[in-house]
Amino acid sequence: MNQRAMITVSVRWKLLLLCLFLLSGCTASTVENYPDRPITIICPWSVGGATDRTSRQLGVYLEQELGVPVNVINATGGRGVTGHSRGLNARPDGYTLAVITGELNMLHWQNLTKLTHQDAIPIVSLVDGAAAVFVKKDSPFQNMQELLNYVKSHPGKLTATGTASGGIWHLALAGWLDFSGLNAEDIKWIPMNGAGPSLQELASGGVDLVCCSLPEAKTLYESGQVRCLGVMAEEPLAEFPEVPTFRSQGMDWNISGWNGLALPADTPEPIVAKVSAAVRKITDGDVRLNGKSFPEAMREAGLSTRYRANEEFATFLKSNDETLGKLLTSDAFAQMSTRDTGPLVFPGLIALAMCVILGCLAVQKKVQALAPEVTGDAVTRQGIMNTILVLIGIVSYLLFAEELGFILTAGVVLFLLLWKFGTRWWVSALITILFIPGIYTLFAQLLRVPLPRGVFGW
Amino acid sequence: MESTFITALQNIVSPEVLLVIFLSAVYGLFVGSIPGLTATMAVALLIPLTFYLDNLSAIAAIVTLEACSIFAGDIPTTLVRIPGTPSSAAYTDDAYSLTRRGLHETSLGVSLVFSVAGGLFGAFVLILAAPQLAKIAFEFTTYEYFWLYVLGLSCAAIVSTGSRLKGALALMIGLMFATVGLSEVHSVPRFTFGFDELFTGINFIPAMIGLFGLSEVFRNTLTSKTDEETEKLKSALPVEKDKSWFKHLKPVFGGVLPQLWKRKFSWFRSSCIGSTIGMIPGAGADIAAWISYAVSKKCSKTPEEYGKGSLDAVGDATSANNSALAGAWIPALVLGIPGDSVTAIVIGVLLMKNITPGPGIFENPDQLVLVHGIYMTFIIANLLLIPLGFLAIRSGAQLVRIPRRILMPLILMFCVVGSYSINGSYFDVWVMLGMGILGFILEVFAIPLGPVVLGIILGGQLEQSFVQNLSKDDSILSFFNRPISAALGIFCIALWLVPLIMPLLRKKWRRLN
Repeated sequence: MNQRAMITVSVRWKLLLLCLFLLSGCTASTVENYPDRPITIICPWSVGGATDRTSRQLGVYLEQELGVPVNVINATGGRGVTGHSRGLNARPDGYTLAVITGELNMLHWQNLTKLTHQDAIPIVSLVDGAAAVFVKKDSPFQNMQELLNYVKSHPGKLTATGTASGGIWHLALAGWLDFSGLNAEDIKWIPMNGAGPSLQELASGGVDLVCCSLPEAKTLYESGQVRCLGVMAEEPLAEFPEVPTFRSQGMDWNISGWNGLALPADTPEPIVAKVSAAVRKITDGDVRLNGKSFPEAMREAGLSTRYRANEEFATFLKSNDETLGKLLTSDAFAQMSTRDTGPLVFPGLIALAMCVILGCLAVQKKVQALAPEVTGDAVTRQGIMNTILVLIGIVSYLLFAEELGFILTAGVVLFLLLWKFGTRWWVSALITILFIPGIYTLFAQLLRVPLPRGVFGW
Repeated sequence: MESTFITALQNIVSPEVLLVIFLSAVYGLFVGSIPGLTATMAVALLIPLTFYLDNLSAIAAIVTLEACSIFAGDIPTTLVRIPGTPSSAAYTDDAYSLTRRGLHETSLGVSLVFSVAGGLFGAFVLILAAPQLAKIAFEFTTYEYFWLYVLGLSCAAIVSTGSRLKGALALMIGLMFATVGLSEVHSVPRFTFGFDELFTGINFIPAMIGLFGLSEVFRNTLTSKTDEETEKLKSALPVEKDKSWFKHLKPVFGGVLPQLWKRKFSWFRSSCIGSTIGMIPGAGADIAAWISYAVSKKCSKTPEEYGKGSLDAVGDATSANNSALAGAWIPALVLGIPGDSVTAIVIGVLLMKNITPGPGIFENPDQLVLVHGIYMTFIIANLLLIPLGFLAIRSGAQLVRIPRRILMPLILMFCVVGSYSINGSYFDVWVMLGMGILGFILEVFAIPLGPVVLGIILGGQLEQSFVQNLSKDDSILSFFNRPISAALGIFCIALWLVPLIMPLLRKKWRRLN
């Protein structure tokens, strides 16, 4: 291509872009008028938990303060890898906020992600939940010392749970054993998916101990189904003053799980300042909703908080990362990572079962049963063409939606499919024009489920 | 007791609360009928609003939303073969076959009436026996869960149409997909091939949309033959000359009430199954639907119709999944243990409102009023579902009149948007695409899709309980060392072995005679 043609092409592109801008009547967002469209908070844990409740509570107050809708997406699974990487690898334009939790300082030590706290611009730390040890109401243990003595004389007898292996509460308990001069494996850790199921298992008599934070156990604790032997905090918690600390029982061992708000690294400084200012107003209790401030709402929900703003949060992240790193890389912990039932046992069993089933199908001489059944409808040539078009449609949506936005990409795909399937072009255009903005309004505006935005913001 | 009941009644009949209930019902129907948007998600989207509502309205909104959206999930299941919620996956083939025969309105009518009947049954169980029944949650440890999951999965494999072996194969495919990602137990990434997105594993919502919905799109486009099928469907539809209301009611409700009466025992059985399973934390409407479907097929006089458009199947499974909803509230209210993901959110909302669920909630008079309000909302929401559900069926039914060449691209768009919106992730759309192709291939080989979906949903939990049991005690016998786990375990094993042994026994019996 010669230079002139290139210029023409680029001019054409610019013209096209200009037209699109004019058509949309809105320009791409700039730093000055931030925020002018909905903001998304990525929460790495599932709906209903303490971190989710914090995210949603904060979302409502941010919405009030910033004047744009604030949506929470739960990007769960992968022990927090998914959510943290979604939040911190998002486009750094201030429209995606990341909720980060203690796992950010653990996962990279366990080689599960490359992400560290240095990939986050810390805004504020919110919940700070100290680990606590729970037993069933009829358990013989009355305090930590009794428990410790029992473990000393019967190593490996007791079972405990609270989270997955290597999760923050596992770390807290194993760390305490190590601190008390015992082997980290003297209490057997049963991996469980979260505090809720763990506490139920405890109340059903499936395990002897649960280690999790007090707010997570609030309902069963207050109804007397479980007792708390101690909390790993320096001072008794304001919300649960009756629970003795480990320190008061002669064990100077403190560890807590925390969460906070952060922005992806590379977010422009003015945006960071705007978000920080808004958040500071909220955590200071200056924003009231229904007559209630954010700190009041959090207290009522039983969540212990510790607000550390920007620099202070950054310092905390650094020291927390060192503490957890020291624990996770210690000999006591490293030797635990080998388990009896390895990760490939279960998939192996399934693969075996699959082979047996396929073998049975073959032995039963039902090989013909595996052969394609004759479908009533014949595949037509037009049909194959159409199916290829459908595939191309989905793939091109996947490739272009992030850049061009939902309306443009989906509109083009839908129009072409309708048209190629034999609908007249103007009918196809009409359906597209009615349907695509309709879906967009429905999802992004009414139901507040974000759709791809692209460079134009829609 | 009586005074709190009356106070609750007074609170609930206030115009504001009734308006909230009505709006939530409409919202629930809407969200439930859009594939990819689940009841859990709808409730999560509602949370910010509950900050502004008083306690009763907030909880009433959630109850109504949940009750309505589970039924609404049946609408896309029946009409376009995309299960609106995972609980509809059990009877997708039945409902969609009925649509292909032009009986979609009858099928949806049965769904609606049996949903309401099941929902009401669940509500009465909640009202009459919540405190007594809640204890069941404390009987379930990882051993019982293991067998419960095995039971649910076995039911899915056994009842699927065609050969039992193929059902089992489908199940294994599903379980295999469930092992993708960072395993919760070991924290070791498996089969992720270096993709960070795969750490989460394969989400069952896009998988379900792909397996059922997209594969149907493929089947339609591959056999593109102008508008014949639509014409056939149209001719099967009742000709509407009389536009009176009664005529509209007839295809939906005609014959349903006699059927409900005829099948009152199976309705009772299914609802009992639903409530019981709903009460067990961590097992919800989806397992309930599968197990009740299996029992229904075993008890049926016409088991050969199951999977090919059986109204009995649709009715029994919908009663079960709706009665499971109220069941899940029992441990949530009485013990503060969530029965399913929606009640997990409810507990969060209650805590934010400074109410701690637990036995105390029945002793504090103010909170008892709220509990009675929840009871009443369950009943009101189910009754409200009858007219609103009818309207939803009527408007949804227009879909089948749209020519396929226009409908298919639109369904495709819904598949894409629905699978994206559940987590806002492009990767889920890729999963949907892959599953669509897989679903198409499996159907060509006459391998059922339902067990694949249930395998993906329960696989992770099954593995988790399996490994948990083994890490507590190495011996296999420990799987049977508690009364309920032993009973469930023996039942599961019998379920698979009896059909293998029976023919041999019969042969021997004949020889003896």
